[in-house]
Amino acid sequence: MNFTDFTFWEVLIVGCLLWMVGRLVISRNTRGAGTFDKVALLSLDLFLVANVGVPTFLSFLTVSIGTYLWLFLITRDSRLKWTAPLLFAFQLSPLFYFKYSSFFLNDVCHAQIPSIKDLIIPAGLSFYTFQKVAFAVDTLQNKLPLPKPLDYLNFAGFFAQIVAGPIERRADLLPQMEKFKLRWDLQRINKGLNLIILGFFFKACLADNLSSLVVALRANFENVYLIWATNLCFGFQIYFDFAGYSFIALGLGKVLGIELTLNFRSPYWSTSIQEFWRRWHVTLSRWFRDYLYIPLGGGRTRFWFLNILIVFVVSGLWHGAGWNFILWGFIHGMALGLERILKFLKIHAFLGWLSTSLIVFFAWMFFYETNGEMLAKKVSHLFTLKAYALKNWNAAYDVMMTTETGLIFVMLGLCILVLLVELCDRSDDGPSYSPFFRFECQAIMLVLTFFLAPVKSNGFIYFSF
Amino acid sequence: MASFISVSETAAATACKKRSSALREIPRLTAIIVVTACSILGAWKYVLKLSPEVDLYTYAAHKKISYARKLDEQGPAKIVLCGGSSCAFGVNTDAMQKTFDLPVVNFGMHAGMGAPVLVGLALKYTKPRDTLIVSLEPHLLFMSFDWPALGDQISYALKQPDLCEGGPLHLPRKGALGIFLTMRPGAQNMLLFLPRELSHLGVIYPKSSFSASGWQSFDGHVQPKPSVIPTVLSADGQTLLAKVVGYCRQNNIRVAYAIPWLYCDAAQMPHYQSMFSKYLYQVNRYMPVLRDPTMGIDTDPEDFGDGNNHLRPRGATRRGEQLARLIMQWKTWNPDELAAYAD
Repeated sequence: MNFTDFTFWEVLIVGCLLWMVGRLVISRNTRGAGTFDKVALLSLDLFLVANVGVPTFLSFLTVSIGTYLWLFLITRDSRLKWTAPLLFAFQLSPLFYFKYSSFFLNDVCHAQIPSIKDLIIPAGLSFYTFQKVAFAVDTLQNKLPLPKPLDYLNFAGFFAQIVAGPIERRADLLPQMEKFKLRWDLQRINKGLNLIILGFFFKACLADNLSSLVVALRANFENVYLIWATNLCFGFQIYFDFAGYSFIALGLGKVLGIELTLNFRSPYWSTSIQEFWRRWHVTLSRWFRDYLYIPLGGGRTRFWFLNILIVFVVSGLWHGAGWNFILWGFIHGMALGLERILKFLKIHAFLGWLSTSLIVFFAWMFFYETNGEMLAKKVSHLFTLKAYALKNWNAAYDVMMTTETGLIFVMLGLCILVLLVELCDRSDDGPSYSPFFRFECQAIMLVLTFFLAPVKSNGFIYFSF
Repeated sequence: MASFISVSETAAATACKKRSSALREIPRLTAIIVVTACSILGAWKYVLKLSPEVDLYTYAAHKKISYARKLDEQGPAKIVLCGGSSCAFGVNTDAMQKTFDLPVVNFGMHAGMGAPVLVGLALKYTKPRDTLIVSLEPHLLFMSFDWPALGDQISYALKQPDLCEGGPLHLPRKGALGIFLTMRPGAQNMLLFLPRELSHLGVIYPKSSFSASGWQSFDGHVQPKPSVIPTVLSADGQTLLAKVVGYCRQNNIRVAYAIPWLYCDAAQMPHYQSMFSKYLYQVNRYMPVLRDPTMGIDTDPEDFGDGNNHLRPRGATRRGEQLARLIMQWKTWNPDELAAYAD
């Protein structure tokens, strides 16, 4: 579901038009309209998922239908409850096969099995697998009844969020699917469009321009200023890329009358690592908290530090099968654990923000640099005081003024401006990005997107997770 | 009864309120649609009128087209060279004309326009009995077309939108409806190229770099670096070659492929020549390949300007003269020779 691919919108618009025609044929007042809308939504979901690719479609159907049938058997016959762990193994098996088999067998165990190398991971596998696991746990733990198959499939495969989240819970999304009926509400459509415009501005105008800078800068491993510049660009790129996707998903949901969870809450204004994880990829953080951290004992056991480390290492592995992702998770886990130990030191909010930003942007290097040798060189340079000499700054400046990277100051300036706008709305629950929904802001974002977004868009970074 | 009335009145009031709040949304929605439409049109206008890159290549295309027309008036047949910038820089068509008296026009443009537009443009100005020399960069035939935006932009700037599908080749294109969204400049164009062009600092080549016959000259020199060349033609590349041959056969146009020259170290020459012969062996299945004894390899770094396939005038003249001889003698490789070379 690549929202930046025009073909997606072609299919979506044609699908919606067919839906409208169907609605005209079936009278709006008949009782069948609700069911018709659910069937139409499911058809659109399945068609769009199938359009992503055959492996994606097949793995999605296998995990979704398999989960439902298994749960159906367990809920009918309580003697089968013992099979619940097998159900989770079944749900996770495609994820392990496509994403981790080569890493564990070839890289960790040195088994050298060429057939599992370079497997193409079905798009969105990590996201919908986690959603189904959460669904199964919630259903079994809370002894909830199984929904109707049609409602379940709409919950499991809602096109706007299936490929890259938000990872929705049963309690949030399923009731909406059960009551789903298409209504034309101009206010809601307007709000949905606002979110879509914001999402496109983030993704196409900011993230895609930053992407070319990261590509041009990342090969450098000697100049510390360029390494930090790459970390900064990548940090902004991944935020605007993923937040952009999430806003478009939220907007599409809203237009159809479905409320999805806000996945980002201005994470770069966090004053602690803990706050950062409450604001970054909110639905994934909650998933790890509820289905891994708390079952491990959470923060109330003697081993709370270990629990944190386990959660973050697993989180790193969720992002990608590689040592660099494990290290990325480990750094965040360590930082969070140390922060908890040192919480008696009451530091000023600005210092908190500065230290959090330094850790977060330093750690992004482990995210984008998959070459271990390069990563080691970059880390060692960053911790060498001499590398920060003025002559290196001058050399970095010269590189940043070339044609390939000449946009760096303008783009970083624009990103900082956007973050400052985010800062205007910092309520207790976290910013809701409301200044971006003012008409003037929307108009500026539209113009900037059409004029500054590169013509060729990159795929969304989180698609590869 | 009274309570019934009050309930129905409340419902009516709620419905009315809803309707009025919905109506309040209409001006905002309309304004958003207007801003979107204006942005699309503004971006379109900018690309076609102000973009320095589009302006340069539209100018170059016009120059080449008018020269091709002039050659048509002067004689019965002409030679048309087509390709990307390695063709534009790499073949001194002025020298070919002067030394060998060949009526030749260089339709080499920018590889970033994509193979379909490059070939389509040249084919539109090639008539029966002409000779078409396809000198596309190998990478254009190794990857899927991808339909780059620059090709669409220049097609529209030339007022020849049919070029977006390869002109007379009519190549199938996915997402053709999305072309209108490719008429956007992008940050690099607006924030880097335009200010530098306006302040006469120059980012791209000047218009004066194109000679009348279409050859583009640039005498700067940057030490070239060898590049990696894949060796398997893509499905799109094969379709393009087959379509070009079919069109040329139908229209009585003589066609051959000439490999552009690329820099590599002398030590790596056998490796590169082996790679290129594998490539040419595949091209030879579709069209004859001119028998360039160097197999497209030049080991003299001084022959190259600002890239490993951008020849300077001295290299371009040497290459032009060699190409002229090959065309006049119509010397082509046979498949067995190429296969032997590859081994």
